[in-house]
Amino acid sequence: MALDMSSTARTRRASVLHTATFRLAAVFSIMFGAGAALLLLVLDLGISRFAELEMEQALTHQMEVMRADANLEGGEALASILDEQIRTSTLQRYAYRIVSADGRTLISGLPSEVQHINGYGLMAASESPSPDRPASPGSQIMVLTSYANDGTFLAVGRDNFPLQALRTHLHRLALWGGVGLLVLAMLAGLIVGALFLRRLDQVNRAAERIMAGQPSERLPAIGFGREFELLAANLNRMLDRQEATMNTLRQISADVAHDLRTPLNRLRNLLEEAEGEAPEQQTASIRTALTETDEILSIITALLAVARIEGGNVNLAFRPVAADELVQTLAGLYLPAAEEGGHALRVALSGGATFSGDPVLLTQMLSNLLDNALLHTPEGTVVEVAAERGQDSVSIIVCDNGPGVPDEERDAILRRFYRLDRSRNTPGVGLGLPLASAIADLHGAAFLISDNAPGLRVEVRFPVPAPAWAATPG
Amino acid sequence: MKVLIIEDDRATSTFVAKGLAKAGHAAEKAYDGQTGLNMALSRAYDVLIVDRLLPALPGLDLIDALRAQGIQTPVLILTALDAVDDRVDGLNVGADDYLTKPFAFNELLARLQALARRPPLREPADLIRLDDLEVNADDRHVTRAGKRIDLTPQEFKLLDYLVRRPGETITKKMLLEQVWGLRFDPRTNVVEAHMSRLRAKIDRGFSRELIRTRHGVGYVIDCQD
Repeated sequence: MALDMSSTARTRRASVLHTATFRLAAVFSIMFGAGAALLLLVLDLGISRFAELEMEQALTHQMEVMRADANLEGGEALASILDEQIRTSTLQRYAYRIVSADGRTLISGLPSEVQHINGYGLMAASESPSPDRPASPGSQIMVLTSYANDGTFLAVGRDNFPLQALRTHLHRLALWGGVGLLVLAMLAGLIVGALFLRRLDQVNRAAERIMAGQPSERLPAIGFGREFELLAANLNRMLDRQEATMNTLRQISADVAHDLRTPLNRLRNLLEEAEGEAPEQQTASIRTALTETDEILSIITALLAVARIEGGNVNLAFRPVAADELVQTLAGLYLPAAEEGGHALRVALSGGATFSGDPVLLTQMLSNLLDNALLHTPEGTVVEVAAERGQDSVSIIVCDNGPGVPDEERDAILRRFYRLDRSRNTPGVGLGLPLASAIADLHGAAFLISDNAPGLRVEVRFPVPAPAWAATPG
Repeated sequence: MKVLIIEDDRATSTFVAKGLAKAGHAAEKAYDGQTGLNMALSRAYDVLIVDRLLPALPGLDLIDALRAQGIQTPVLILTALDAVDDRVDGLNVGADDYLTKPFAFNELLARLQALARRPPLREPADLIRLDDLEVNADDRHVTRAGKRIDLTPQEFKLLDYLVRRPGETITKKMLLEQVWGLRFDPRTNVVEAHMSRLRAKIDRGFSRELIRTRHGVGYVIDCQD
């Protein structure tokens, strides 16, 4: 069997970058990174806005004081107050520019450009800072300008360096944090991916071994979580099924070869003899040969039925089955034949028990069991077919008070073609019970053979509700 | 009866044709689906035999096409496939009966005759009269020559089936399938036992034997001789 080994080898060498884990990790880390960046951006904007408002308020307040003073005592007086302040105080929060109405600059803490600003404004900080305030490129001064009643130009400004510094810090944090996160996520992805890959590799190798001819091997656990456990379990169950089918097929071929040889031999002998017979005798021989052929065909049909049912290759059509109805229909069918054969047939009902099953198969099963009971017991035997309700089950029972089956042979009778010694001369080839048992299996039902003391008791017990794997909708 | 045999296995085809000829019927043959369809569309037949696995046009598609064209000729599918869903597929597409290979020729003949007489069954008439036998499907009342006969429900079903097909040969397989819904042959001789009971009740002691056995084939209920 030529397998495409090249593709499997390729998979084994597949780079970790192609693993699902890695890709998942990549996606997550990108999303997380983007989310974090967004958050920091929002934070950034929020802080800026807040600081701006703060500053505006502070400047407004300062301006009010300045204007009050200027209006009260005049622009020159204000300038000298401020001048004094600037000279004596160590901490300079504000910078000022005051220009008298007639154009004399009284305080020049802010560059002249500020005179072009009306109200609030922003200026670059390069030229103006006071000695204790380091000029940092890119920092700005927020200014507020106004006029006093006497026409003096008033301007006050404040450096937003702290804010800028904070923002820069935030940006740097965002960048490095983001990168760090990405790297970590990638690393984690790579590691988990590699681990995963190794585990999968084991599974792949096991699969290859199974395909190469070790049907009993099973896939190892994949680990990493429930979904994978379930997957491995299901795959293994599939393999179980497959192995069972293969075994069944193997057994069928062996059975067919073995057990058909005898009747085919008989047939051949018959025909060979018929070759030399006179025409009048030939007709009779041909008829016998036809009967023999029919027998062989029925064996093959029965074998195929057993094989198909055991292999689960039947399309099950489960529906609710009334146990009593099933029992009564079949008992009715068999009654005349039973009585003709000297058997008494009795029926016992469950009073309405129902279970889930395939009616066609169930009819066949019960028919097989009745055939068995009637054909393998002598005249005078009482056969009973019953439907019984159990605690969480419904049973169909066929029992008789005949000679029964010895303990040692009770398991053997489920084997194909197995026949009890005393049944050697009765019709049939020994496929009835295996077939019935296979049908019971398909329904998830227990097939119980026991001593009826005296006689044989066959009980098929259907669990109610039916197991999930058995009750496939039809 | 004019029969068209659409079957690619020449041995089977010839076998059936010869058997039909011997029984006094006319048979024509087609060896692939397309030819078969053409013949079925252009000539009138009483019944068609179609194999499922055909070259050129598979049996089921052929029947589908036939029915799509409004051809109502009864069709019997002959095939080696016999899973339950195979039968269902066949009947769903418009076939009327389904027989698996290998088959006994008599079985095939009985079924062809049953199909060719369609619409056969008398409409669900309430009262069916056959000679001096009266069967009332409504209240399950059966009398012969005026005398009331008691039948079990199973026996009644059997009689009802026969009585709606007077003169037709009914095989054991047909009874198992259509009266009891069984698709396989039980090893016990259930049908024979039922029939002999039925005959004991219906025929014994009366002027004429209505239910006859056709050896190797099945049973017939007589209408007129």
